[in-house]
Amino acid sequence: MELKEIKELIKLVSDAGVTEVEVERGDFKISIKKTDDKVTYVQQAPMVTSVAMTEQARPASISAPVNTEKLEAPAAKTESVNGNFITIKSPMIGTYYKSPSPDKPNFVQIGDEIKVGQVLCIVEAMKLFNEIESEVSGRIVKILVENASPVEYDQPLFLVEPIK
Amino acid sequence: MNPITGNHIIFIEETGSTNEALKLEEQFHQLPEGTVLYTHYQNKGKGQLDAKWESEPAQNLLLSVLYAPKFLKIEAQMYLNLAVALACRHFLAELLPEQTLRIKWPNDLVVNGHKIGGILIENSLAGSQLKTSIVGIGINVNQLKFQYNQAISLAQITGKNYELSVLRKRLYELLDQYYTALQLKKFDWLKNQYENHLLQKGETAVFIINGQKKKAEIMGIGHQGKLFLMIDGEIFSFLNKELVYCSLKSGNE
Repeated sequence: MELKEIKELIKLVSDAGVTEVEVERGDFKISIKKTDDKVTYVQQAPMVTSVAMTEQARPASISAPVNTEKLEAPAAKTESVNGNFITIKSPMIGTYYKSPSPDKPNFVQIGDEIKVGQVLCIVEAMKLFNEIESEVSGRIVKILVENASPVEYDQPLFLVEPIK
Repeated sequence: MNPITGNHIIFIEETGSTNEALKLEEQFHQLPEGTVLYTHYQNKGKGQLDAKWESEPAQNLLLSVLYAPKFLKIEAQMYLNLAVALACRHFLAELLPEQTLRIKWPNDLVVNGHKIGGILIENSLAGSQLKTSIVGIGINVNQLKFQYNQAISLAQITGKNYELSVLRKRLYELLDQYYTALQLKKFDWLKNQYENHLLQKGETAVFIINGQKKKAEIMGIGHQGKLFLMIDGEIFSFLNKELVYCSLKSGNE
């Protein structure tokens, strides 16, 4: 990923009023987090360069970020950017689940392209399991709730960047 | 209302879960509302997401029904749960006239401290519109041994052996009756009936809330299906993931 692209991403985060963005492209991963009025980004280099080239077996997960830096950016103006993203809200009170069952993959991940009618999550109340389908198409920018946590009516669940 | 439940029937000898099998059928075929899928053996029966439903082959009622309660607003969907739980309770009460059949919140069927049946409903929602509901029902009928010692069957209580096809037919009739009440939006009636048969209503029960054992009085249910509990003189409401309900037995039984 080029510096220019990273700068654009940081600008996106600070302008968009979102607090966290993760982008994955092949084996390259960058995550940008905003704390109050600061933007932090953590860039993970491709696995090939970060895994030590020794004969000793090492778990691949050790790949430490090679480059950590803090950049400052102006505080976000939430109202100016909400128009660019669509918030998908919970239609009901219940418990949010990210996958059909604990051993199955998540319905959606950050960065996924979603289509109208695609199942995004389950909200359960009284053992009624509700598969929530998307009414929009776009790309998941952020998942706003933790698995198995309670959600209120109208609570934002996902931020989606529309695709035209 | 004309009868709909069981007008169209699919039988599968063995399946992972009848809910999953019916969902799959629905993806490939146009199925009428009220379609029933039943099986003799469920090898991955679904309890609550990860809990397993234990069942021997051809001994029990294991079925799923497809409904399309589009008339039901999402905030009123818990009444579908009440209607199904009440139909199953009614069905069991007819077969066990000498027992007290209770509904353990949210939707287990218990008799004398033992679980005899369970319900699992899966809805599909587009935005705030309810599209379809898959109602999964499991009732222990002729099975005589369970690994899980809190489970019990009709046969264990009465000593009789039951014809499953006869039982299914009656269950369909009762599901239709209570589904009609739902269509007529008799919400208060459903809620009253449910609370009348709610296990330990008005009694003190033990719960685990936030990892702590607490005694609480069961007050009833809210319109969103939450359980209302009185703890130390104050009323709180809970989702079923927010507490563990320890007891299966009422103090009076």
